[in-house]
Amino acid sequence: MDAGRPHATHVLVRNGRFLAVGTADDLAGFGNVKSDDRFADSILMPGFVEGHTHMDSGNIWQMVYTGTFERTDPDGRHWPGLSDMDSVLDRLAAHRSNDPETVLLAWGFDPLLLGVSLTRADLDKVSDSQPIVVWHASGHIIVANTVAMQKANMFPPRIAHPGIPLGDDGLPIGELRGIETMVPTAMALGILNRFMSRDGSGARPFSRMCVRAGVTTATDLANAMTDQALSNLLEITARDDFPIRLVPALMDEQLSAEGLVAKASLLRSQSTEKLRMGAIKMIVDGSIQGFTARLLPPGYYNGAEKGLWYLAPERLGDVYTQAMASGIQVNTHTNGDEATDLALQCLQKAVNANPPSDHRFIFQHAQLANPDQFRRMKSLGACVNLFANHLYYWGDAHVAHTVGPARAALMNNCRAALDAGVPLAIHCDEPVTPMAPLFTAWCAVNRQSGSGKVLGAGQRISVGEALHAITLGAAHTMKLENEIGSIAPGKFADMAVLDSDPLAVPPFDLRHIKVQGTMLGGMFFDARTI
Amino acid sequence: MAIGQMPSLPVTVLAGFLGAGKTTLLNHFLKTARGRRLGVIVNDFGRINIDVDLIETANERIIQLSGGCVCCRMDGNFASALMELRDRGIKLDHVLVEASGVALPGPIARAVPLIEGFHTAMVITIVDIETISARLTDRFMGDLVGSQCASAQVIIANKSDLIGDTLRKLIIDQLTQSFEKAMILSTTAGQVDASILDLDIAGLNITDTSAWSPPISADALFTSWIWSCTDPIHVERLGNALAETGHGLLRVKGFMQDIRLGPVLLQIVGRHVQIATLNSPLSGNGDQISYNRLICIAEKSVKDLGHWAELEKRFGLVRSL
Repeated sequence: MDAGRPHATHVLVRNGRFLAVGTADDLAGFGNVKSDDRFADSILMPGFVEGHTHMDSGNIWQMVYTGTFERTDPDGRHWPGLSDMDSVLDRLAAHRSNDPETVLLAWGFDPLLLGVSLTRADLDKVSDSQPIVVWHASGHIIVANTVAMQKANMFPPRIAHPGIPLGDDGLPIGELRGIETMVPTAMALGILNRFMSRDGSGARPFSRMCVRAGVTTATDLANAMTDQALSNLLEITARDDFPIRLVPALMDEQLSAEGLVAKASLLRSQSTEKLRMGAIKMIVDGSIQGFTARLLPPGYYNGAEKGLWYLAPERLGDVYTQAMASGIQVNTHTNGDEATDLALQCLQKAVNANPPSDHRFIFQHAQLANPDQFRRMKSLGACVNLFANHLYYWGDAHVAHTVGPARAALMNNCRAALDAGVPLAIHCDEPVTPMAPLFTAWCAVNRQSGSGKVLGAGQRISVGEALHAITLGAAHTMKLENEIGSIAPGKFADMAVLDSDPLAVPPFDLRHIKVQGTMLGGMFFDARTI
Repeated sequence: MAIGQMPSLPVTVLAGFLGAGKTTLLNHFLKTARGRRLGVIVNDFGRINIDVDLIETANERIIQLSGGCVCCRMDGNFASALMELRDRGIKLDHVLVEASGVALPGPIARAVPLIEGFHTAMVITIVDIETISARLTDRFMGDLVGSQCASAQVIIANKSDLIGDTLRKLIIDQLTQSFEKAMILSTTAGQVDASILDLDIAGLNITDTSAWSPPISADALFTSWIWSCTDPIHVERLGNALAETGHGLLRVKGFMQDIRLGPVLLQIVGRHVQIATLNSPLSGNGDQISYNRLICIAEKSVKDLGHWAELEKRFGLVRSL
């Protein structure tokens, strides 16, 4: 996949790295080589690079999936999407037990897409003895049945609270909205740890999902990198049978800017070939579908409030300035265009305060970034990782509720980013949407919503551009382009094994290409048996 | 507090943008606790002044100090910290939650009573008087800072020594007009005493400043004392007398035995008097309530306390500090 030689028939691997690539003749000069024709009928691509995923998604499957779109869990088990309330309740019923001590936990329920909300009464039909808690896909709301609410002392209602909406009967409808109502409930039910685990135990199931998606390098944005997580990750990733290179980004809101950069520097020095540490993650605003992203005027289509700030500009500016001085890369979550504006302003100050450097700070999501903002990213030396999957999974909701049709057609504008010359990656944010870089590429190429609506045909990119964005492009944003991202002598022998050629199939069929497995450092991992 | 229920622990939410002086204020509260057992929930221990000699026990999350104060690290959310303080059975008189610089205190204050055993005493928002006007009109953060102030029952205009008298008066007037339901105090270096915590006013839903009588002077400092009596009294007469006198009396609160109504809760804020009968007898742990004991807070500038003498004589009150 080097620009001047995009195709080859043979590749030579030694000690986990590519030695040569080309024709059989090109490789003849290396003398006696062992031939391996396992992939004679397959297409080998550089291993896919996922720049925005969450390792804990490996653990989320301990809960029951109730989303609208089909998904596959780490064991390869297929979960069909649920398109109406009856099928949601049926699936919950299939997983209930009679043990009143065990909370039945589910995730991924999306009222925006289903067009109907789930209530306490619905869940009571599933069980009136076992506590049930269902987590909305947005992550900002949970729904509980009566037993669960009683156990959490939220039923009958003791106080009026906007996060505990009441029905016409004056009783809670079952939704608990916002972190301030969710946390006390989760704590009282003893399920808080099941919502968020940060010990590195998700790495192994997560890596199996990567193999099925053809991913050989994946990020974990964000990780608190406790001592326990670090030692677990060093141990897990060092094993030969661990099939990916993991790139965690440090997030710790308790640490000062100095402390954060110092910790990132220390982590960087402990990196290995399969555990690349040293980056930092910062979160500026919330999510668009949760109406917590910060939007510039005219704001939300449905008139929702302006969204939330998750950090102060002074904090972001301090971290930027000090990280840049120490050569530490910063990933910045912005969703709304106002949040992107603020981060650009902070980045400008950091650039002014430091000598020129190849910092490549990454804007993560930046879903509403406009062409002017992409040009500022370019001039400031930043990269962008756009959330192409959103066009498919929430595209219809964006048209109807969040930003309306005009702006939905300009979301995740890969065309404008490339035209401005910003290094581009595209991502899935697993578990927010399923990991499958070829599907992500399909989204950027076709810009089609779940219902089949095209959102901004003018913002499409070519298949070649999209494939670059999930390989060398993403590697470049992560400053790993010298080691991964293309099949080139000296780089790690990381490849995705496919059943057909993405450049040969019609662009609309990209999503149907099958991943047979991956090769990491020359070792094959079979998607069927992982 | 809901009448007829067990008294719950008051929780004050301390908000304010980065650099406004939240930590300085918290440190001052701890220094001036004077017998109040404060639980302080902070984002990190780093900047809290903890005298190592005072530490009785400490773990990663909780530091217990001699004198009864406790510091607790938030670790992600205040709710779990509150539950931990409660479940460990640590005896406290008041809990302070330090909100992060960009947090909205309103949702936190509303969420406190979701956790059994606590009620919201008030939101205190501290602002840097030198920068507040710019903050409130900031392109990015203006609405956030405005919301922090709008949720507050008390706004502390800090660092008032950094600007001249004229400008300070102008800014305080602006704050008073913009945030009508709040009491505005100005101070230098976060020097507001912990006695302000006894205000415990969120539940009274004060909606305008006319309740604050007399108006609070700049550089307000507080003094507090306790009035107690032995026999039941005519609580309404006492309340009206106290509300009428002014004299810098800000807040009075306590359980009383009324000669006609029996046990009542008397609350005075400025000229507002509220008397609530306790309709269900406080059984079981009812001994936690001390009757005929009024906590009073007044401006410290009220040096001459002599004018209370007649009142004390009339109602048989004994003052103790």
